[in-house]
Amino acid sequence: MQVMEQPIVKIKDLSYWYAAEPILDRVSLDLSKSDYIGLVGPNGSGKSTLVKLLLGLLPVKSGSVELFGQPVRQFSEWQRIGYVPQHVFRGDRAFPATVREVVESGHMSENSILCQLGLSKCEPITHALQTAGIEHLLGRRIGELSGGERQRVFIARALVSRPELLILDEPTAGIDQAAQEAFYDLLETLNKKHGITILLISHDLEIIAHEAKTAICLNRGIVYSGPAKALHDEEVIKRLFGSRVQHIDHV
Amino acid sequence: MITDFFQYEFLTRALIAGVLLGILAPVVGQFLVVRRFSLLADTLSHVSLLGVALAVFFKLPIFFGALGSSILGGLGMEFLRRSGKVMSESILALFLSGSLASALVLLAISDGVSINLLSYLFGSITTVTNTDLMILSLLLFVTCIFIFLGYRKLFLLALDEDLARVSGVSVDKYNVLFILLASAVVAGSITIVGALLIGALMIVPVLAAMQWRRSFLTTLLLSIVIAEGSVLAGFFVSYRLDLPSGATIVLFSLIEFLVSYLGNRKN
Repeated sequence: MQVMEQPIVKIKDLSYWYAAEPILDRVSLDLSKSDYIGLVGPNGSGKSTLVKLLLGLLPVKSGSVELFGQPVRQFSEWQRIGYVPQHVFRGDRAFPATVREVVESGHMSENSILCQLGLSKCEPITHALQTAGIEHLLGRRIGELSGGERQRVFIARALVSRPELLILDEPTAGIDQAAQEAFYDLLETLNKKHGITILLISHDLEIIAHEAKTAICLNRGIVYSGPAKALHDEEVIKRLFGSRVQHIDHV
Repeated sequence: MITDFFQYEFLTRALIAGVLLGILAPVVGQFLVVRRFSLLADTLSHVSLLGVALAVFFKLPIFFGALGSSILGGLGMEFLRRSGKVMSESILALFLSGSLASALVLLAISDGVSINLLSYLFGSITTVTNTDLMILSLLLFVTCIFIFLGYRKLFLLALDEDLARVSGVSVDKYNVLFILLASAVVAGSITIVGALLIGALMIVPVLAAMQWRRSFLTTLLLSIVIAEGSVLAGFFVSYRLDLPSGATIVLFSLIEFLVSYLGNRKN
């Protein structure tokens, strides 16, 4: 029998609503160390709201959210969490920042002006650049990179503080197939080799079924929680998307 | 010619004020530009005009009238932005036209109170007082401390607000502090550069520096160099040719933008 550690994330009976419209209904889930969980659901299923509640970006109205054993409102060790938002970097191409500056911004505790001017000893970012495979992009400007390269930069930024939990919200939306495959290989390495817990949010069943170990299907409430491979099951798909939807494999 | 120039105390004061503004304006301006708040400076300067009118009406010092209205206007805009009920650009339009209209009506109904509104629209760098210099020096000191200590947090806020929040940045607190700073800089500059031109001095050197496609910090330093270049060139040329100094300074910063843009077309 496996010994259960304290969950990294503990969500209990979480409900949320905008005006009178229910968005989440009594959602409970736990994330443990080294989990690779895929959170999947159709548009409007409450995925993004759940992530915002989890990260303290929205106030908890009903139920509870704990991060590393602390209620999210009191949680302050944000360096333990790496977050890559859905539409990462919405600035335009002219935004004056280099990859080095973006990645270094993951170290919130140091004074970056002194670091950049070489007047203070600063935490190295080499490990994050190497892990994300972007050492060659260091001097490039963030606005000039492709979508796939940008995602890697923000992964590197998230890795700089050596997080225990990585949360990625639709990270490959708008990225070509080859870049997607390389990106998910990187996530697998982070999970298997570095033991980082991953919460991957996507509307794409195929990606979650293929990449995650465990899938959680959300449609206001949790309609399925179990092995990601079982997402091909017609019953699960019907509970998630309704009876008129059929599963078709990606070619 | 330059030695002649320094014989006049008022011109020396004007030059010092210009140099101080050449640092202050682009440093605050860069964070406005990258957050797509370029028009905020213009809006705050128009809100300051209302403060000038109120100060005249109630016989208060002009700077405090401009500062008070600018801060209240800035906080009001931030409150509306955060409520999410009015689109960001519309908030600027609302405050810009609303405050200008209020200022004009207030001046019209102030019987016996005469004010040359044009001097506050265009400013006069050659009527700088020692008090103005003290206010600008204090503003520069506070701005440098704020940017130095909060640089990474402000950078992250410019990059992505949610990312900043999840990195432990007190987003609301920093937004309010930044609005207060921008409001104070605008209020402190309005009598010197004028409501119509302070926005240009805060934004155009930054846009020129951004054409060189360097890092965030280098762009910040470069925008100061460009602003100082336009202040000095504009100042001496306006003195020699008897032109309005604020407008000449802004024209030089536009020339620098054009040169930077054309010089970096291939990048």
